[in-house]
Amino acid sequence: MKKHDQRLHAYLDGELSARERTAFEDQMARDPDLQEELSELQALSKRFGAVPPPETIPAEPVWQHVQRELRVSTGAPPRPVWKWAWAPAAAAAMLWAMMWIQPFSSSSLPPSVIVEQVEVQADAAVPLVYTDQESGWTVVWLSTPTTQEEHAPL
Amino acid sequence: MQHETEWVQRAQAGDQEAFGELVRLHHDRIYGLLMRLTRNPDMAQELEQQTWIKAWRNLPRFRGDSSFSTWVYTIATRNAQDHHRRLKRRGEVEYLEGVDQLPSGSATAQPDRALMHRETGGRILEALDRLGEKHRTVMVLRELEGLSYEEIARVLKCRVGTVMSRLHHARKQIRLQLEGAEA
Repeated sequence: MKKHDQRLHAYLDGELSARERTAFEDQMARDPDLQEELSELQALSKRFGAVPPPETIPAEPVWQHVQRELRVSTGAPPRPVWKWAWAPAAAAAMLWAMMWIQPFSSSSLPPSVIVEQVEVQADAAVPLVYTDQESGWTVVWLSTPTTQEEHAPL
Repeated sequence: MQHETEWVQRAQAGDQEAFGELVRLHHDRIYGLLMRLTRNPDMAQELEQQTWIKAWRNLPRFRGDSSFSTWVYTIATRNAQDHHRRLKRRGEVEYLEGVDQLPSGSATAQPDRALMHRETGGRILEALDRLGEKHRTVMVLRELEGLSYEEIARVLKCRVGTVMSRLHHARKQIRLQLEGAEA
């Protein structure tokens, strides 16, 4: 796109500063081709005025639909997902560290505790038990499902 | 405007009624924009509903760098662009269906002039329909919605120079199409 084309469109759309506008008008006064080009663009722009406005619909049904959707999800705008994104990564890192970092030599020690049953008070919490035979470490991990709203993609 | 700022703040704090006021305030413009971009009343309504749901979910991210209406325009425009891309992938781009659905206007007062006016509007819409999605969007935002270059650049997340370049190309294409149709 040529420089004068850019300015021609910007002039047509009222996007030039007062100084640029004056300079462009001076240039145009000396250039009949530019004048013709401008008048064709102005005619085109005017034709857009013939495009009928779109028919409208009432706002209320739209809002009611949106409101129903919002009630299904949550009462308040959700917090950004990234606030919770670290949690699974942190849990995995902790588990990995507990498996691989052995603070004392325990390869010969048998597990001192055998977890047979985990009783959980919290609703919907799922206990996960991991026993490392070599180190004797037992990790009990309580997994509580987070709410859909907190993790809903934006 | 003062009300709008208050409603935005209240909505960000979780007040759905305040958000409802924002929906009512901007509904006509957002629906109108989506009608112009999709030319399909049902799709425009569906996309508008999606726009408001996304706006609610993203409200914590709105910091007032642009006006609320420009921000919602951005979401609506992207919704329409995504919709267009989905249609294109499925080979279902069908904007031209809406051309003969123009309102009858004031045909009784000056039938010839009104008819010419309708025909002109119809030709412009047809020409717009034949543009690619990017050029069509920029023309709708500029010529029909009256947004400035800066606002269009914000909505489309591109540079002002890109807006100017697309406008230039789109106008050239439309002029060629109209010349061809009227020759």
